[in-house]
Amino acid sequence: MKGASTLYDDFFHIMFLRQTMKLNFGHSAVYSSMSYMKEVNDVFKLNYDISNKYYMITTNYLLKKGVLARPPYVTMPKQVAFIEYKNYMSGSNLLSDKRSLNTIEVGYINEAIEDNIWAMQLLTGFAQVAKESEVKNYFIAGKELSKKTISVLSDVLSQSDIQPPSTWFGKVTDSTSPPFSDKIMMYINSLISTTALGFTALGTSFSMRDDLPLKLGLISKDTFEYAKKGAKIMIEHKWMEEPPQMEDRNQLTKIKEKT
Amino acid sequence: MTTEARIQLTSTELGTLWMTYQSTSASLMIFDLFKEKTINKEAQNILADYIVECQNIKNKTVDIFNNENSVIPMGFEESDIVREAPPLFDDFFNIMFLRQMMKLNFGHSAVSLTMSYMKEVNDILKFNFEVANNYYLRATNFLLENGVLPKPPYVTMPTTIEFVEGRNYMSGFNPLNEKRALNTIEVGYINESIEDNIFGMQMMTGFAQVAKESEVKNYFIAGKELSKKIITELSKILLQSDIQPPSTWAGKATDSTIPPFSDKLMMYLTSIVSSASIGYTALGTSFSMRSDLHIKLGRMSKNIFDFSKEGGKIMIKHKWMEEPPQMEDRNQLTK
Repeated sequence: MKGASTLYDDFFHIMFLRQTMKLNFGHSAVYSSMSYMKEVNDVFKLNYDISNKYYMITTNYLLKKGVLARPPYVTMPKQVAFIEYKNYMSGSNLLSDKRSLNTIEVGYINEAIEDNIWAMQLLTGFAQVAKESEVKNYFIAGKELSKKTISVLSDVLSQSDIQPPSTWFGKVTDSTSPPFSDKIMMYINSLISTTALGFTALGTSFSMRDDLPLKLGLISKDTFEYAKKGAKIMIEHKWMEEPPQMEDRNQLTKIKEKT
Repeated sequence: MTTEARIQLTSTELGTLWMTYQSTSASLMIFDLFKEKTINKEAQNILADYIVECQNIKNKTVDIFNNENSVIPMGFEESDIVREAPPLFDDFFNIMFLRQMMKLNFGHSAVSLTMSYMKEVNDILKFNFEVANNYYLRATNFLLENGVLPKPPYVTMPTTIEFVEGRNYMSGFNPLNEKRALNTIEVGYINESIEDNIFGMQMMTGFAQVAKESEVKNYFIAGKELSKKIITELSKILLQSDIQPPSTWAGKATDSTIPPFSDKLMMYLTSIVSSASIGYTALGTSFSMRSDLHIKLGRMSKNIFDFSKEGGKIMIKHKWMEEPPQMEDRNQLTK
């Protein structure tokens, strides 16, 4: 709906583009590894190149305007160390001192917070303008899930004396007139939930402190339930385009028998 | 970290570059050894060209570490390979190995990119992706031309657009219900996972033959069994939809029992393969729309995660796990 009033501010528009480019990195990487025909690979490669270009342009734009929080800095390591102590992996014992996070763990946690701050704003806007009340409630639930994820993960960073990323910029206006159909908003929401699942799983597998997989596992479970519920709503409203199906041999052989 | 007021490397960039260094230095050693052992000229050329690019990635990464006054990680070096050892795998497998590593690099550079802010870091990751793409294609073409790589199943092209209507599109759970045929996205992930596990099974077989420590040997045997279990389970799902699972007899381990790699290097490779497969399975699960797949893939993920955790413990026990750059331990510093 081109006539609708503006739902997000300029910064958010660029953040939206940046987040979409991030999703495209993941997709083109995964699909490239399933491609066999040169023409198909070319499309994925082009998709990747474009994402990379616009990810850099948007990141630089936001950094220059001072509205994007960089991840925490760290003292550069001076020597190579091998893990010696057994309790490197423990962290589930509440009484024992947890070791400080390593930079890979910080990377995934920080990234997840950044993504969820964005998603929270996105879903706030979507909830304001959704037409169907079921869809509106779904977006509100998504916003709450993002908030919960942000607070759980921010706690983890704070415990290691690291300041969680935060930004006040990029936000929703007070418009309630929908610029998008419920169908497209549901689709975008499903895309980000599924990517969050893949990302969290990867973060989990690289985390080496026992308490992190537990926390991330709970987040994944909630995200998965949330995504599944969204798919049900989409199917109910006939908003889900059917992906190309394999031939249903049961069906095809049945028809033959009848005629 | 310098105390000078300038934009510097962030902790997440340091972490991703550290990981890039680890896998690049490992690849460099492995493929340099494979190049020497490969008989087929074309295969050898692919490996030789790749090593040049790989060295390039490593050098660029080292440059950033130097600029930021960070120590260069140890990673993997000459002492992790034994050049005199007889070949552990055949030529086809060597190229399959390259192809699988390139797949890992796709994922790794894509994820790392979303955490990069500095242009120099972005340049390396982008270059890493491009190299991965080039050599993924060269390896894939080589294997296809030699008829040793099964392509995923073909499908009749759709001629109409449809929207999902049946409520039972997502069910699949009730064994009495007829399950709907798989959609092409589901087939994609399942097929890919079988392909990766066939590779994993061969790799584990070879590693188990040559591991020095008995604990490590048993770990690789467990890994082989896990791969086999996954292949069986997923093949069954394809067959239920009248789709033939991919299979290849080419690309395998020889009967050598003399280790060409250190236990440390083999454990590292197993750990990155396991982590990638956890991420991949999660993505596959989230794109699957039949609930029986969710349950099966979920169980699979749990098994891989437990396997990978066990590996982490073995690596720590033997002091094989290089410590990723750590955040300052403020508790310790204030004590």
